[in-house]
Amino acid sequence: MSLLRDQVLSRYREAADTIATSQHANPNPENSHADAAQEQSQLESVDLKGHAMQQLLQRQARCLAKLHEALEQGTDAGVDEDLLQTRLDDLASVSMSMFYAYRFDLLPQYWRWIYTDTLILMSHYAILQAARCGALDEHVMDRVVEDLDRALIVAGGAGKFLGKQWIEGTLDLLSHFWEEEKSTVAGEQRPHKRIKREQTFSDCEPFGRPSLSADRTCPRYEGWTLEGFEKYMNEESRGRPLPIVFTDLIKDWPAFSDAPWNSPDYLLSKTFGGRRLVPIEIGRSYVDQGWSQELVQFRDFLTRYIDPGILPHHAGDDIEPIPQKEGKRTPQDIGYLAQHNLFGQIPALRNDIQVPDFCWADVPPHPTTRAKDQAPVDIPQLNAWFGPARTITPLHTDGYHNLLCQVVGTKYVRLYAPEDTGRLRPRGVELGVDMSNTSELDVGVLEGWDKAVDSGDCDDGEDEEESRRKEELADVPYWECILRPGDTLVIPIGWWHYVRSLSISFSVSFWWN
Amino acid sequence: MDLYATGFNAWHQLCLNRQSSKEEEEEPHDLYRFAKVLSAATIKRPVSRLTYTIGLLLAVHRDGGLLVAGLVSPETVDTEAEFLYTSAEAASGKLLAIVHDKDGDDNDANNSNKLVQYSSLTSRRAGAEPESIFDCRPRATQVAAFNTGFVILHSDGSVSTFGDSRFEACLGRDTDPLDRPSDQPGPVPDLNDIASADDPIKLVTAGGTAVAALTSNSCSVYVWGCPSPAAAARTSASASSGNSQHRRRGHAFPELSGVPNYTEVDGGKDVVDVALGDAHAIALTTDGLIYVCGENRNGQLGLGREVERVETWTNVPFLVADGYKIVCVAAGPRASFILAAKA
Repeated sequence: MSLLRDQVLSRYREAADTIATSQHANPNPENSHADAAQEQSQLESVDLKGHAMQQLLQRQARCLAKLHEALEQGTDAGVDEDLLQTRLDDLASVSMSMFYAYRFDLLPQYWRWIYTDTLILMSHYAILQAARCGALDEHVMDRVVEDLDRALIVAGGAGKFLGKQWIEGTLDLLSHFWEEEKSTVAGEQRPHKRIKREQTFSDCEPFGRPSLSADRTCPRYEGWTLEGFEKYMNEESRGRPLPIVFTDLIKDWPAFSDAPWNSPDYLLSKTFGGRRLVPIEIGRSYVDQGWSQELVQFRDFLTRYIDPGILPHHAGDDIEPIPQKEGKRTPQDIGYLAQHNLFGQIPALRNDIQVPDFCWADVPPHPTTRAKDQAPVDIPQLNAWFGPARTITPLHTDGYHNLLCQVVGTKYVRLYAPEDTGRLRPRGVELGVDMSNTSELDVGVLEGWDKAVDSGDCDDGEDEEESRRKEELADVPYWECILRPGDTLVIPIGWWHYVRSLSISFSVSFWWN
Repeated sequence: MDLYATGFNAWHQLCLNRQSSKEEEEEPHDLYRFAKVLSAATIKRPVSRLTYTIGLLLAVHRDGGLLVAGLVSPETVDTEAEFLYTSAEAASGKLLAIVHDKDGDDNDANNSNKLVQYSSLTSRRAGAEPESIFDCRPRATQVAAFNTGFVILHSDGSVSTFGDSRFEACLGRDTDPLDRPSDQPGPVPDLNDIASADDPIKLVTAGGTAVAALTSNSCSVYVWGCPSPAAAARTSASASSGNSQHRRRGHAFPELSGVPNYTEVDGGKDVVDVALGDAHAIALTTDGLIYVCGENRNGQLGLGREVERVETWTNVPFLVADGYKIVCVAAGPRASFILAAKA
């Protein structure tokens, strides 16, 4: 019996005990000792539904502890397992519906805790079921990783007693266990079959690249010091810096050498064999009809959206790779891992990059609209952007300064100054969401790189409107550049930017203020 | 009269006649078929929420009053049951109630009354002021809640809505921060075109992300709302895992939009009563039959354990006792109720 297997089981057993006995929230806040400094106290005053769900959660944790004990002693726990599964499902669906019922920032924290704990218990049950019939196989690994990743991504890994740290530890342990299992099996049965794979992602640019005009291309620099950069951002530009490219900021990242991000093999090895879930945006651009988000396994994301040739086809696998008739892809075939803090979710990848020193520079506020400044962040906010050719982030601005670092492939970026905001047609409030940071203008369509997305009502006015917009935009000065691996684009706060991948592309952005 | 119930029962919330003996069942089972849960001379339509049900018995002798089953705060049993019975609660815990003035005559004359909205039961209990007070003209006669807002029936049979603008389709109307704010009652124009003085709306009901209205003479049900976001989160991440929590779990109605749409029950039967849960619906037709559709994971359709979900209105094999007829139906978020009376 494997030591690692025992460790996995006992870790789960402790988790169930913790959930069974811990109070997420106090149903009677007025009775709790008024700890004035406790800013959470308001959040922790839980409503009846929250209290009830917490009770239900504890009951299921007790059932699982019983099942666990019965497994160890080879006895019958007398637990109605159908009911256990129904109740876990109830817990997940009720807390999930609360995520939508409240606006994101108003959701009481305990709903995230309950959701996280529920998914931990679900994965516990999957493990117990499998352990009972001695089949801790790859399907169980898939299922467990999926449950735990959902908690990390959907609830941000929020947990009062378990949460992110527990989940990360468990995933680590599980992947060690799984490595051990696989090597045992491989050692016993057959020589390790080396799967033939492409070494690196293709750098082909199937849709061509826009030609840059020399006088509008962002200047490229190297050899700057932090002091020099601060001077540029503040005094020299009088607080109105222009976008520029650095070619030497990220040269030392392991992602370019020992930890090659352009290698599918490497990325799979860091994602539990590609099992880890990632949030994917489906569709051409987030302002299009039919755009949606999905959680998919990283390996499915690679085969479905990046390159179907990456993995050998599994028998019985019903993942259909997108037909590779380039240029004939429909928008629904484009999947983009966008604006996701992948490094918070998968810390192993965080070691492959470093926060550029320039992110600690003192930088000016928003040049025109102070209200657009976001609350100061203690540490730079990291986001990953990974997708095939022709992913598009529509023209928008962020409330931070941004270093956009290109690791794999190439991207085209078009930038407009904050002073020209009025001419860029910012959107209004759409379905209760303030969209004023996104422009109505579709740079790709106006430039003729993309066809207009059918808006449903096709009248002749549309063409006129489009050519009017085109004329309007033609007068607005802009900057542009093509980012290559190793390049870093400085996007000062308030600058509108349109980003378009030319090839398979993986970038990291750092927001700071 | 007899009350029958089926569905989610994790706190015995369906067992209105249960003696409060403390024999602790480890985990109460859901009911998968309609079962008689209460018999009394006069029972009114129950009000059911996720963790409790309130039944109202009209006093003939001493047995009148409100009955509460399931999990509630201790305060509720003594003082809040009536408020909860007469109000509507959105998923965030916001409550909306009609204020019935004691000197009702004046208000009858100008045909207006007030609605009060509390941010939560806890805040009302603590004596907090209502979050908002709305004047209603024509007067409000009934309110119902969906996840993110409320629907109001007025005395002239017209309908208005208010709530979270992120889910505009649930409001059944366009919103605009200045002219037609989402957070104040505003008419549902398409529905008010359908209904008329001859055929006013007689009932509104809501649950999850769906809202419905029933006309009094044409006996037709119109539904509108948002396709539920949980349903939009489509397939399971790993095709092989068969993880049940992520399978399709939409609302009872496959094609919901912001426009009220006629829903046909068994070839166009006339409907006399209808109720919506979080993800299911129940209707009573003029021929005395019960129809259901939507989720059945907790047995809320009363179709038995084997059925997970039905996509179209399906007749429930429910036989009413000899000499009785069904008078109305009701729904909790994950439960259904049938009330039968002596014919």
